[in-house]
Amino acid sequence: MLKRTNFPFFEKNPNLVYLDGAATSQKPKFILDEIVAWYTNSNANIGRGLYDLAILAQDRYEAARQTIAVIFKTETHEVIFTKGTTEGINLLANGLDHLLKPGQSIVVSQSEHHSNYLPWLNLAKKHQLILKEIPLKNGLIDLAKAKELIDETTFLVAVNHASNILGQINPIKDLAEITRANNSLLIVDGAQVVAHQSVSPWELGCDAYAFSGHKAYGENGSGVVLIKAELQNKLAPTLFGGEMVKSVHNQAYLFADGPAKFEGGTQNPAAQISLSTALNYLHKHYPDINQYETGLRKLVISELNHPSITIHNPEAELPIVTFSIKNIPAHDIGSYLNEKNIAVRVGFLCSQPLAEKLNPAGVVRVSLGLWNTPEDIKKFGQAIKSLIEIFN
Amino acid sequence: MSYLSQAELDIYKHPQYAKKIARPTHQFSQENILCGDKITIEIEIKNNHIIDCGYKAEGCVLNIVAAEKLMAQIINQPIDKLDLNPLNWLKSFNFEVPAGRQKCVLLSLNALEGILAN
Repeated sequence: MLKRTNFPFFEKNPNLVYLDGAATSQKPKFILDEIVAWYTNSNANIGRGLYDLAILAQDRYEAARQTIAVIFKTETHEVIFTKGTTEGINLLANGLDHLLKPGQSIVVSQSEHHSNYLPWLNLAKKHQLILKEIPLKNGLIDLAKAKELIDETTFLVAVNHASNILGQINPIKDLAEITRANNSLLIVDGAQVVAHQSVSPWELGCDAYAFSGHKAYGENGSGVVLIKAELQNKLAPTLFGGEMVKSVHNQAYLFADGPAKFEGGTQNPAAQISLSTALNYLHKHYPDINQYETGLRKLVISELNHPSITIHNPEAELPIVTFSIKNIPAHDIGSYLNEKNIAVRVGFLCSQPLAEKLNPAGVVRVSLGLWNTPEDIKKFGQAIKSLIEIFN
Repeated sequence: MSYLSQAELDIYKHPQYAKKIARPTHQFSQENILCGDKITIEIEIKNNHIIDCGYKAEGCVLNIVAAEKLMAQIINQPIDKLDLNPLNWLKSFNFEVPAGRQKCVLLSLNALEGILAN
């Protein structure tokens, strides 16, 4: 399994304790090598040229799509490449825009990242829809409340598979039963999950599932939104330009079939191929990854065992620990840890409604990856103890 | 030098100007939505001078330390002589304001700017 020495980043930054994997992962050498290899051996614009290099580039891009489809148990044409989760969710929101009517409702949860909240809030305001928010129960979507909120007016439900603050796996399969009973779409933000656990979105009952590559060891600017074929047929494309049409003639156009319809403009094959390679690696190692990360998470919890510390997500399945320290503002914790060469995320974490509820002064999040070691966690624990001493 | 020195922590723990003033003539609030820092500054202006000032704030050490420094600097000063230049303000601290935390020390200055602009 990957370990710290497989990440060249730490050769250049040997003393850094990087505890912000949920924001973005560091990249292992085999991914960096693949990106360099693309630009050294294979670079051509895909979907356009008739020369061998362009055809080979296109083949590799489509092979990456196929690999991802196998991993997530979808059809190949259900894999749409994006820049990341935000673009995937916006693609869905803007693509569904033409189907929305006043009086319909959209349902989200109270633990959404802004990327799975603002696109829907925007649509709700634009079309006079009702935006309903499912409350949480013990950090998870409250299914009883979801049942009350989702009804025949509900056009779609958009929720996270796991919140970027809480790292608990939501009961998507149970939620899907409720959406299905009301003929509502179920769109899931999987940004936090794919680096850590195997996911089969169609088996869970999702209609679409979005995630980013950069949180899962792939290159920044890579990502996927998986969209069921039936839903794709209803979606309007949102990026108009090269390669998303079959023909343009006399001011009329015919959209391309399948993923191409949603992938207008020049794509980033190196990024998407790196993502498929990373996902392929993860897919083969999920049980070991899970075991290692769970062990590290337990160490973090044990280092935070102090009467002035509140852990907001003691039940998390993902390697995320979110906490507050009594009388020490989150930003001061972040700056102090930075002085000790420890990188964590502080504040509202792009999920302001939930973060504010947990602590109006913001929270601190430790999120782990395969580059982390028990020594990292020990250094972090020592820094937290010395910070508490300083403030007391 | 770290801003989390004993001197700054003492200011944070024992603020002098964190109070409502008796006869405020002006007040203005500012919020940093990225971190939750909030401040409301009250001042009393008489004969073009700030004769009383105070604030109510929530947030980090830098927010409070900056608010205290600003209050101490403006009290009894003529309003047309106040230096509201953010670069001068950032340089005036005896510690280096950490990267990414400039908004924390600018919040109170922005609130004062809001008062004077209105």
